[in-house]
Amino acid sequence: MAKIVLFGKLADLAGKREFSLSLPVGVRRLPALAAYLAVDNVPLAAALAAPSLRFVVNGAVCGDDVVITDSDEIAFLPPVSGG
Amino acid sequence: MMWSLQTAMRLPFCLLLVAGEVCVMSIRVDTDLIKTTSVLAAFEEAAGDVGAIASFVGKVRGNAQGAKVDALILEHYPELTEASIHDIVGEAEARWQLSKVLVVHRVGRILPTETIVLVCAASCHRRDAFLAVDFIMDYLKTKALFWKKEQRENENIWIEPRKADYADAARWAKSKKKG
Repeated sequence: MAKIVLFGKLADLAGKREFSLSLPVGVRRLPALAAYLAVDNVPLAAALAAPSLRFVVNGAVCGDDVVITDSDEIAFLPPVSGG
Repeated sequence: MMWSLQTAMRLPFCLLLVAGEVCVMSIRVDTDLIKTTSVLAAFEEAAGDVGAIASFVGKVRGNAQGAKVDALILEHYPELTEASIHDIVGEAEARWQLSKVLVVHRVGRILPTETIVLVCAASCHRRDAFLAVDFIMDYLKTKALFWKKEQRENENIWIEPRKADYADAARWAKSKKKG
């Protein structure tokens, strides 16, 4: 199963931070996964649609056209704030 | 700025060799209380025969826009966060003459008056040390992989960089790299 990690406010909006998921049939790219995760959750959908959102698959930042599988670790990163 | 697990430094420190000059960088990200005075003293001793040491200490304030702050929660992405800081320090080393750089960034629950982040830079001359610390802080605030939540009396707020933070980071875009 894919490992999904949500950072920052995304975890609060989703009600969970780290979980495993069998990618549903048809969910092969990150935007589709985001839409699936945000079903019936308007605030989460808005946060996942933000232009500032970044995707990390298996430890590397990637674009939204990457094909994802059940063997991947997929992280969604909202705007950062350190220091 | 590109970073990935492939570029993550698994050692707590590394040496950057650029044109015969060596800069020792140390990066630490953990939940330990930062004992600021001790860390600064150790950095000074380790820096050896240098002309200049500049440092910045970032602390949790107990008050934000008139609201009492109970704590700050810092979240990170293990290995990738360290890699993002490594890239930032590497860029500083490419721009200025530095012999030693230290970044200590705490994560987890941090209380008012406690230190969140400590950045030190040693150089032959003060200008490079000052600029490196300023640069690293601007980039830590806007590019390093941390997420910050303020626990206030009646609500928790996820903090994002202010416009001023982004403007501060943007001013380095036109800076020249050292020759």
